[in-house]
Amino acid sequence: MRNLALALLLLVPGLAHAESPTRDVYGTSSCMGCHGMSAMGGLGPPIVRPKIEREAFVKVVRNGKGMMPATPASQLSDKDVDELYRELNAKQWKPDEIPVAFRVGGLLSTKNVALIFLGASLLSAIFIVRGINYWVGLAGFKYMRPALRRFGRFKAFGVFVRSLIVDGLLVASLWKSNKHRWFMHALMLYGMIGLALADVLIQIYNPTRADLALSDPLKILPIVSGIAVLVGVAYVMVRYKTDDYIDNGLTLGRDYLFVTLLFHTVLSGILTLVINRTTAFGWVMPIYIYHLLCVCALFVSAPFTRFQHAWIVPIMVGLNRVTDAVTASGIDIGFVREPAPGRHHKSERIALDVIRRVAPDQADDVKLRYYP
Amino acid sequence: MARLSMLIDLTRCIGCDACTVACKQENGTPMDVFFARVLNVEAGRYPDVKRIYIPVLCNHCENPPCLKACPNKAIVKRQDGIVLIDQDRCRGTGACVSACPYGNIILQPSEDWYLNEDEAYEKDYVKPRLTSGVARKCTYCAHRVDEGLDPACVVACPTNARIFGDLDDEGGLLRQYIASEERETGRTPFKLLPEAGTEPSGQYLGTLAAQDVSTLGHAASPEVTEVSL
Repeated sequence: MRNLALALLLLVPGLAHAESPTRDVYGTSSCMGCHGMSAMGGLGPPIVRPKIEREAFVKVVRNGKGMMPATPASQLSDKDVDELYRELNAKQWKPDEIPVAFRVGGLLSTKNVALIFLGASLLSAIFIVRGINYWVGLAGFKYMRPALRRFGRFKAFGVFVRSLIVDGLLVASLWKSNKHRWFMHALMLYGMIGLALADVLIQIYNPTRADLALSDPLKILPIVSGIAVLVGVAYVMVRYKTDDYIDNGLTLGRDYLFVTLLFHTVLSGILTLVINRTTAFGWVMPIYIYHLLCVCALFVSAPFTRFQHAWIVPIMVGLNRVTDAVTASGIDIGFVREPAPGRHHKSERIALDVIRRVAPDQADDVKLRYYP
Repeated sequence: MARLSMLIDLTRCIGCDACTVACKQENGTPMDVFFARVLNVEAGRYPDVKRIYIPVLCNHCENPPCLKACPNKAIVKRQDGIVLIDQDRCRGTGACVSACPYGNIILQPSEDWYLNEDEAYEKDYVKPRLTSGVARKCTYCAHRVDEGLDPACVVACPTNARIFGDLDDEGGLLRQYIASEERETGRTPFKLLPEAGTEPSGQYLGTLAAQDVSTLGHAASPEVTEVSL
């Protein structure tokens, strides 16, 4: 009996339609194929109550957007598009019908993604600073201070920055010893710099991350950089497999973690781009989410993996150059007179450490003597 | 598995630098390259002063920062604990030089030699064994250790201030020496810069001046001479 009443009730709107027939533009258009029976999403996102103005809506329908094809007036008249916009605004928002991919995707608004990355970067930055602190501590930089004061702090800073550029950014030591490996380093280093630069530029010139044409410089830069990194990292992966001496017994696991994460990051990034332009766009959202996860993991793990050699090695070499410059300047007699020049500050540190243990009373005045 | 270690007794060291010279001769190092050095340290203010000689060499750390810093994986740690710089793999980047808190890795852009180019010692004995432009450091004389010999600095030390051996070998000289010194003089070995977290295999025994004074006038305990070196 209740079923019958329900059936009757459902008939009423149907009858109403029969009396004054309004056309169901959405239901008869090709939109439904991707956006779902009730326009709550399918392969494409939910479009019920579109958040854009009518003009923008018409533009999207006529020109297409991302993976969505353009619909010419021959398939859908201007009047129908207007009607479609009205219909979509009249439809009910049914959150339960949103496909899972778009439910997750919905959380990935530009703002949310930016917030997640800000958090990951901050966390990473804290550990990177701690890492640098550890390595600079090992280098005994603190014990260089008296000599640096005499040498000139700005001059020392100049030597350090010059080394960061020559030894770090230009990877001078590899250029001298092995051009082939320098090239692979360059692919990855400049590729990653290109990717970072592209991200900053996109943030400035395209903050909503709207889809751009492939010919746009903001698209070319990340694509070229991404391919460079991919080639470089693929080479490193092959080298890791073929080099018998790659295991130093201490860092291999962390080295692999970095290389694998980087490979997955760039590959998923490029795949997102490629699939976006094919018919398999159902995969776009999951792969894009995987890409974001990889980038996040790469950021957070950076201070603990092979990634950190990208900044630790230039810093350590820079400190060497500063020490060499101080030694060569002859400003500090200790640096000049010691048998193997350039380690006076570390010797002083050792001397202080030993005296503190064996003769703590005399530890307030410790001197190293060198006899030329 | 062996755990090689060098114990340096600061009481025994007289600062003669015989180890420095023996190391130079054994390894044929160029000018300004010293794998084994002796720090000549003056401490305190007159009249309360002290002079201590601290022999330093690569500590062959359990957790070597040079190994972690090397971008070319040119530094390896052997099963017996010896840390080596692979002279063929090293590309002379220099990260390890800064990373070593003890300053025991040496990398020179160019080399100077003591003797003339055409001297047989330089031309035929020393130079062919060395690769230039790479980082170098003490190897615990791995080539000698592999032959069952002690490192050159240990052999050369006239006062037996250096005791080299395997920490895992309970009846070995090193463990015996450590045990007897703890028993007789109350000294326990310490390691350099423990705050760096490098866990060096090189160890030191402190100076003995205070105890020496307190035992003046007494007969030396016969057990002290038990350990023959």
